[in-house]
Amino acid sequence: MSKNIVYIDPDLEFLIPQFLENREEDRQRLEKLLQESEFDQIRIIGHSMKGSGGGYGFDYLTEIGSQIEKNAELKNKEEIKNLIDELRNYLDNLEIIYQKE
Amino acid sequence: MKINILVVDDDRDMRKLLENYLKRLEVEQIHFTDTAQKTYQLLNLNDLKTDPSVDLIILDIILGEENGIKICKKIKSNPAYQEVPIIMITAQKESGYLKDAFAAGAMDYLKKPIKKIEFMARINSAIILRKETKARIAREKELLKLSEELKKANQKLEKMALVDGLTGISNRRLFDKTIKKELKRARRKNNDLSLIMIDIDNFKEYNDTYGHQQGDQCLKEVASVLDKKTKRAADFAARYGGEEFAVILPDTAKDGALKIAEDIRKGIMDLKIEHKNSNTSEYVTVSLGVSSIKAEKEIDQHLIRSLIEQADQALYQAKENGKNQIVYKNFE
Repeated sequence: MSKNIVYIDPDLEFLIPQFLENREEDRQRLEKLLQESEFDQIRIIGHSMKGSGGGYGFDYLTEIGSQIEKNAELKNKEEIKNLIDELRNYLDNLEIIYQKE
Repeated sequence: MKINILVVDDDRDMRKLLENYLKRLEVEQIHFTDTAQKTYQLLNLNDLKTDPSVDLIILDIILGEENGIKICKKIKSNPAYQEVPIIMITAQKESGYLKDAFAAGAMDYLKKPIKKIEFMARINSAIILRKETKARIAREKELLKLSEELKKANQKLEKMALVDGLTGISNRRLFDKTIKKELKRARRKNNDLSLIMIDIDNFKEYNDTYGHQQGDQCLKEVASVLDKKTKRAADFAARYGGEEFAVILPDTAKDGALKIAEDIRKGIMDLKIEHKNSNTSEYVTVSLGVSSIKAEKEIDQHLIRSLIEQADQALYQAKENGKNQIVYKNFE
């Protein structure tokens, strides 16, 4: 299976482990919230991910966060489930290379 | 100059990211808040006279359920924060809010995702601007303080220039101004005006006997009697020079002037200032020369001099007649 290679500014290296741990936490919360159909909480998590992801260099997280936010507004349970699976897949197969732009 | 920054954001990862960048700039302290309430508290917004606790505010436009624009407006409503720049951070989709953000007083905005180079450059500009603003405010404060001090010093000087330093009553300079002013007024209103010249009797002997410090004390006491006996608002007493004093009595003719002169003469006697080497009395006494005028001619220096001369001649006559008395001389 191919890895998701992401290039990150070395200035941020010390922040990355915590950042990714928080995303793993997000994913677990999203699964739980989806079971409870708490779409408003899901929307907020998507919104946050959209806001911070790209800032750290994970443009994909901004993209997926944006889609989670949109689908939460639409209360589209099926699509949100797919997006959470995609997120898990992405996080499980991350390979980070620290290098200056 | 120390610069403190406040970051208002409810996302911990955003706070970490911004902190990491801000640490690289010339910043003294970085504060973080994640709710409106904590923000208002940290900024001490309830106190309208507070000094701003931070120099730059970076504010997320949507804070969970709270609205960054509301927070921006609230901060800007405190006068202390008028000149503290606020930079809004917004996600692309929220750019419709930008108009409101600027209307609420934001200085600039940054779009998410935050890009390091852009963020650093924008924040750095805001820091430079803030430093200049702070320097200007400090200069303005200093100037205001100096101009207050100058104003006070000027008021003091102005007063000093018109008051006799020893006795605290008006000095010769103010007498010269006042006699001219009052004569002109008397002419306009067709009123009488009287002038009393007063001289302490045997003052040289007093100084020789009791010393100059005691002499000064005597001058002060005589001056305070003059001050008390010239009760009406327009009545005016001044130290004319040495041991000589002058009293201007607007709207006063001969009889009234003689009455006040007698009042003064008795007042000095009542002080009972011992004077054992006086050939006039055992106490300090004064001689007084009075002159009155109905000003019908143009008021000029010549007329003023003549009036003073008449009163002076009357004073001289009082001395000749044996001192401690009043002589009246009509103005011709």
